[in-house]
Amino acid sequence: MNAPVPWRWLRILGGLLAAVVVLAGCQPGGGPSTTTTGGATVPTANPNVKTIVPVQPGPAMPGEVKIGFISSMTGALNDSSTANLRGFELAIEDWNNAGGFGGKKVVPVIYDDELRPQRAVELTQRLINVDRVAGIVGYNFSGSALAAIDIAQAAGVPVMATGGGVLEITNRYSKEPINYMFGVRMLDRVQALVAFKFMRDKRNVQLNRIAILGDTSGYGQQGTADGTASLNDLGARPCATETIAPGDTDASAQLQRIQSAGCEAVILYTLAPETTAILNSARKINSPLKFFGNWGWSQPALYKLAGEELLRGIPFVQSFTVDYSPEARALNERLLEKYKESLFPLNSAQGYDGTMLLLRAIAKAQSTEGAKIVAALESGSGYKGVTRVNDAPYSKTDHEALDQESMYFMGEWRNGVIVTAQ
Amino acid sequence: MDIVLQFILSGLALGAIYAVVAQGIYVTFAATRTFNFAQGEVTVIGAFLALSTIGFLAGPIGVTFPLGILVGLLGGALLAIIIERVAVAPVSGGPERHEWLVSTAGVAFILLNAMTVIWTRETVRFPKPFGEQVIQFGPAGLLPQEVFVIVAAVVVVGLLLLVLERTQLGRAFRAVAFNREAAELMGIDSRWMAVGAYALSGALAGLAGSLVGPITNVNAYMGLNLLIKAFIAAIVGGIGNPWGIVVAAILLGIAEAGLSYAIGAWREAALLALIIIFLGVRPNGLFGRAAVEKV
Repeated sequence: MNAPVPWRWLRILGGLLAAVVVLAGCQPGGGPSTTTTGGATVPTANPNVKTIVPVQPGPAMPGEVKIGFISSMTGALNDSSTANLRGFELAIEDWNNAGGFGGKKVVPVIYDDELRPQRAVELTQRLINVDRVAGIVGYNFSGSALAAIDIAQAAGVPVMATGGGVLEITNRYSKEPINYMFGVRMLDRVQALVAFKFMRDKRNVQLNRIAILGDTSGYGQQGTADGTASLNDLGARPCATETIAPGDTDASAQLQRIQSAGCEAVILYTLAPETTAILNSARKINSPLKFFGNWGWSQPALYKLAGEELLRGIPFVQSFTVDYSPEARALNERLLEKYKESLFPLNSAQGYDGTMLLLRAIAKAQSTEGAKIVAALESGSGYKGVTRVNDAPYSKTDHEALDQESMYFMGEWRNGVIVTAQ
Repeated sequence: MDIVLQFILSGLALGAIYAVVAQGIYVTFAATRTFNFAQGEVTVIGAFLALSTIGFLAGPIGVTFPLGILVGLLGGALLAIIIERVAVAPVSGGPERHEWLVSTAGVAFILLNAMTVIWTRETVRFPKPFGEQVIQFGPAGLLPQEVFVIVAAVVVVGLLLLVLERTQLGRAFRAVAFNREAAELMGIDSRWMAVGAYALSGALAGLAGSLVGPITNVNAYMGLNLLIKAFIAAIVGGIGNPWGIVVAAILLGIAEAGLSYAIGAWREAALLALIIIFLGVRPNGLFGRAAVEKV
């Protein structure tokens, strides 16, 4: 015979859950980051705020200009996506403070895809068919972008990818008469080239003595492939290729295998928890290996998990540091002033520049028609941004703004901020 | 030789954690013939509760960490009691009843969902109560928290086995495990033994979570891997033999670390293939005995 439903226990469970919810807010290092879900938000413009880059008022447009933003403010990429969003918001704010389009403010429409490609597809359709935006910025999660860009391309709505590093986003339609996909983000292949050359030229590491250690996720596998291809481009090949499973807490064995293969340096393609485990393992076995990596090392999550001591002196690829230029410093000051933190300045910078490039193209085209915006983007902008975008970032055949090795450099963590590595 | 010593030490730390969680699996199975598939999530909740307690108290880590462990342990015990009352007791009651398979797996998903909402989906740093200075054992090294986990696991499992073997409660528990009907005829309330077994199992899980937190940091999704490894240890050790489970857990940890060195990316596949082959040869595990049913 079945036992009766124990309501008494359910009441106790309810009480306990309430207590846990109260306690949960107390974890050291803070709880979940701020997220934005669904709906549209319009940041209030402040006429007293000085714009980060010089902004000219745009021409009057027939209707309201709406710009969409989709990223993953919920989930594992919430830090970088939220930072991306803040760059977007500041760019819209600056544009509106400078007069908008003929005095009318640009309206941002912001959605959170919750790190779900299918959600990104739905929201992209909504931005295009319901909100009727002139362009879409964001897609920090490459998986979302790869799922959703077909819709934007078919509808003729320009997309400005300001995160991720997968080249296919801008390459998929490169053979079409009009390719509506553009990017302001760090490309994985180029990053690897920059990192290897830095290790060779500045840290005296022979290219044939560089190993690759990636996690077994799609990110790690793609990184390992990019790293191997980039080493091949430089006439070398990895001295060892190792993997670590997500969740593993010890990588002593992998590091010992790398050392046994005669390697002297390792590039990591791992997320923050596994990177921390690898660095801890290196300390345990007193490893002489030199570590380096791509932009992922600039994640605040990694700094929070690993701490300054483990990360000290490890170089990683960047296109932006807060001390890099007056514009970069101005962006960082605005981030600190408005959001009380500089969460992930690199992604905020990419979000800012991507949005500005799109707005300037709309102004130049004097239209919200997709094809005209694309033509304006491909014809140069004269824009000096907060990242290293140049004044003609795009052409008919090149839709990536940060695809030159000269735009990247190596950074490192110092006292909680990323500065240029020497 | 340096390499072998390192993977033995690293494997010991891993195995110690598996041993504590696996003992929880043993006690619930022995008392109720059920497995709690939410055991991994209870472990992680223990870690989150410990972490939140440390944050809430905001005092010296030497004081807050032990209190955090206590809250993790008690929280795990309470949660497991609730699981037993809500998801196991109503749907179990004989060898022909298997609904608990679904209900405890369902609880696992509910708890995972709750953790991501109440705490976070991100990996959260757990404070390091013993610092981060590596302790050298000749050419190999361990982090202080790994040494602590090994010592704590030895103490906890030792105490548990002592209670099971030397106390009245332990004897009652073993009587239910050996023959539930006979134990009931002798006046032992098997219902309360089931609640007690789940409480003990949850306490062990909560404790394991609090101990492992400083090594792994805490992530809501890390429970499944712990559960699978603890299950393997419990089955390979012989599900009715707590000492065998300890040995199997430690061997599993060392094998995992050793295979990482020997074959790298194929580690998990090779480990599970070896276990399948092993169970083909010894279906009752390292120290288990084949059940004999008199007719």
